[in-house]
Order: sequence, then structure tokens, then C-alpha cells
Amino acid sequence: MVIEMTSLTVDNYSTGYSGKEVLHNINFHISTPGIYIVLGENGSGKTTLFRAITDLLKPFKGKISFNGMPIQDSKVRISYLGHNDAIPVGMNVFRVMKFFAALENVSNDVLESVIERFGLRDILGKQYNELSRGQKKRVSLAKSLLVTGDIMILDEPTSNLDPSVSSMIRNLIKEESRDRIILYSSHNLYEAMDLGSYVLALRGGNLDYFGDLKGLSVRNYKIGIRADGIEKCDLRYKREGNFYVFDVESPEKTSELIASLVAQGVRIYEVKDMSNPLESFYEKK
Amino acid sequence: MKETSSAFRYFIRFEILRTFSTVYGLMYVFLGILIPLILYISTFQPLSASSLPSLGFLLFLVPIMLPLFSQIGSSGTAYLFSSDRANGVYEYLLASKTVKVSDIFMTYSISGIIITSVILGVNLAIFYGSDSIRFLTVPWEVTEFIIIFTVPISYFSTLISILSMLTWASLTKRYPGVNAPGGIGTIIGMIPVLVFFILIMKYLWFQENIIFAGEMFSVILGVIFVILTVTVIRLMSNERMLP
Repeated sequence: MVIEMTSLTVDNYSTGYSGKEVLHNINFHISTPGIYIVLGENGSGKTTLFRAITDLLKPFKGKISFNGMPIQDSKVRISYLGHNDAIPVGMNVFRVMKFFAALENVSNDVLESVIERFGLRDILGKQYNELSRGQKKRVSLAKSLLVTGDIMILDEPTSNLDPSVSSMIRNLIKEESRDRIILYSSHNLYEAMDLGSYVLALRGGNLDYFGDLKGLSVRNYKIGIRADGIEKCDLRYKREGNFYVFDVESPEKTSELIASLVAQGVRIYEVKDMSNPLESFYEKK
Repeated sequence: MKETSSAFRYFIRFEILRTFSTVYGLMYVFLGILIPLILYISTFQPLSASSLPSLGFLLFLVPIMLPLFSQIGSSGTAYLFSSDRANGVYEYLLASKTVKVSDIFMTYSISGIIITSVILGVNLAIFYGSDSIRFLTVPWEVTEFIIIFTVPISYFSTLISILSMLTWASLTKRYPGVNAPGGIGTIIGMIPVLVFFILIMKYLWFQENIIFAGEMFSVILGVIFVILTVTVIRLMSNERMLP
């Protein structure tokens, strides 16, 4: 029998809370290291799936295995960043980091490098509850990455973070994804497109899609245009930041749209494709 | 748990350090020491050795109430447990397989015992110290009562409080206020001493047989403690400490 080096199998798995089933007959098999974007509306079962993989929830039926062994018996190491910051109250950042490092048996050198990498040096002496939301998230993420697990479960790791820190974290996660499975949930579909190679979409506790991101096709093409004078035109659009977003039937129709706008006196500064195949997982069926 | 013993020791040390360094923890520690101290000061009066016997069961009032203060003083750990659970600290530690559920239960029990020991030690030092200032020797019966009632009931009250909190946390969803596990645990932990106090104040038989009553009470509380421990161990297998 050939055993893959890193594999995660969820086999006909159902679970929930207090007897109420939340996840229904989930099946998937991951054998390739990489970033798996977990998508789904609030309440679709993402957090429940994460808790199931970490063995925090017991199955109603089915099983989860890591490298062929039941997850609860395997020696799998999991780096986990849940919905909550998971930081003990009443301590400064240094004490918090020291606490997790001691429990994880992490050396001082590793602790120092994590403090450096996440830019925590300047806030080490501050009480955790005095930090901004972004700083709190950085501390929470840093403690979750003190140990690099075989599986990393990251529930919206970049929410509330400024762009530079988000970018640093995305780069870090990309590096880590070369030889481990990363399950990454995000409501930011552009971030998901940038980061992920695979998609695991949940809808109402069922597995809606599992597969390669490249295999997804765009159902609704969206063109973003930054321009002056669009309000005067008789066209339907939505505003997203500085962009007016138009739905088009296909990419080929973009030139027709641009020509029409120019003919109506609109001054166009920038045009970009804002289609995202992941949006379909948030559409009502 | 990774490198079980050293990590476990660190976990306990961390909880005790937090109890003595956070506002919540310190507030309860001070309550546990300050209230009895205020009682000593406010009731302090010169006594002669000959007047001691006339005080009767009143001599036992401080030893009866000390377990209550020890338990209140250690309640800070209960509140730390409640807030850590709500913040997802245990969810994280269990998910990353850093600790087991039993480690968390043991940490709070041991932290509670240590904090109770500190508070009880300070209060007993004040109790015996104030008598030596007055050049009085505490009667042997009172010391005997402290050994068979005050000391064991202090530990049992604290442990029953912590075990009730853990049981309540397992059986219920998180509710704010007094219904939170920390609040329930603290109230349940106070009940034994208050019951004994009421019995002593109300019934002559208890006043006349205070040593025997104290012994019986310790035994009963010991049994309750064992029952609660068994319950918690059974609940532990299903407990996941989710917020």
C-alpha cells in the first residue's frame, strides 16, 4: 500500500452541535500540498468543518483521516487560527507570546524570529486589550504560527489588517503552502483568487464544490471602469470604490461598452476585469 | 500535551501569575484577605485569658468564616477560566493539540488550591497573630476546629466552586452575568460555609457539639467533592471548551 506524505480525507462526514447536524455527508480528499480556499456564506459550516478537522467536534457519522490514520489517532500537528483571537486576558504581548511558546515547547530563537517577522517588537510591553484590532490580529496570528503544523487552518486571517501586513501574511502563507495543506477561509474573493489554487465551497452544510480554481468558469463578467461623466449615461452599473462596475455578456462585449461610453462623452481613465468566478458561491440558488 | 510536565507546570504558573497580576484576580485575592482583616480590626478588643471561656462558640466564628473568604479570594481563577473559554483560548489549545481537556481542569484545580493556601495562610497568620498581640493563647478546641473544619472546608469549598464552574460550563451555553460558569461556581462554593454558619447560629446542639458538627460537615463536603469530581471526569470526555 502506498501512503501519501500528506493527505487529508473527509469521508461521508456529518457533525454538528448538541445533536443538531450542521455538516451533511461531506466528502473530499486532499493529497496535494497547497492553499485550499474555503468559501461559503455565514452559517454555511466553515467553522464547523474546521472544528471537525481539529477533532474538536465528534462525528455523527463518517470519519476524517490524516495520512490514512483517523485524525484523532494521528500525530498530525495543526496550526489553528479560529474566529476568536484566543488570547488570555490580562497579560502584555510578551507574556502572551511566552505563554504559547512555553506550552508549544518553542525555543526562544523561534519566538524571537516570530516576534520580528510579525513586527511585534514595539508592542511587546503593551497590554493585549489596549491594542488596535489590526495589532490584535497580528498577535493572534503570530501565536498560531509559532509552530508550523502539517495542516494550517486559518479562519479569515487577514480581516482587520492593513494592506501591508495582509500582503506580508499572504506571502508567508504562500511560502508555507509548498509542503503543507492550508485551509484558508476568506470573504475577500480577490484575496482568495490571488492566494488559492483550490476551492472548497460549502452551502447550507453541504459541499457545493471541491476542486481546482482554474476549473471554475465565470458566469457573470464584470468590467470596472474609472471615469468621469458616467452618471449622465443611461446604463446600469454598481459603484465599487473608484470604479463603476458593469455586467457584460462576455469579455468581447467590453469594447462595445467602452465605445458607447466614449460616444456619450465619458472620460475613461482605467478599465479592468473585475469578474470573479468565486462570486457564484455566494449567489442564491 | 507537548513535553507534558514542563508545559503543564508553566500553565499552572501562568494562571497563578495572572490571578495575582490582573485586576479581576487581585480584586478577589484582596477581598479574601481584606474582609477578614477588617473584621479583626473592627472587633478587636482587649481580652483576658479568663474571659475566653465565656465567649463560648463565638470563639469559633472566625474559623467558621475563613473558608468563605478563602473561596472568595480564589474566585479570580474562575473568572479567568470563563473569559478564556469565551475568548476561544481553550478552543485554540485543544485544536492545536497543545493541551488536553483534563490538563485545563487540573490547571484550574491546582491553581485554586495554591491560591486558597496563600489566602488561608495569611488569614490564619492574622488570626493567631492578633491573639498573640493580646498575649492570648488560642484554646486547643479552636485549633482543633481549624484543623478539622477550617482547613479542609477551605479547600473543599474552592474545589467544589471550580468543579461546579466546570460542570456548568459543560452543561450550558455561555450566559453573561451571574449565570456564567464563574458566577455559578462562586455562589455554589459559598453555600457550604453559609449553611454551617446558619446551623450554628440557629441550633444550640450545633453550638454545643461544634467539633463533632465540623467533623461531620467536612466528611459530607468531602463526599460531595468526590461526586462532583466523578461527574466532571465523565463530562470531560465530551467537553470541547468551545466558546
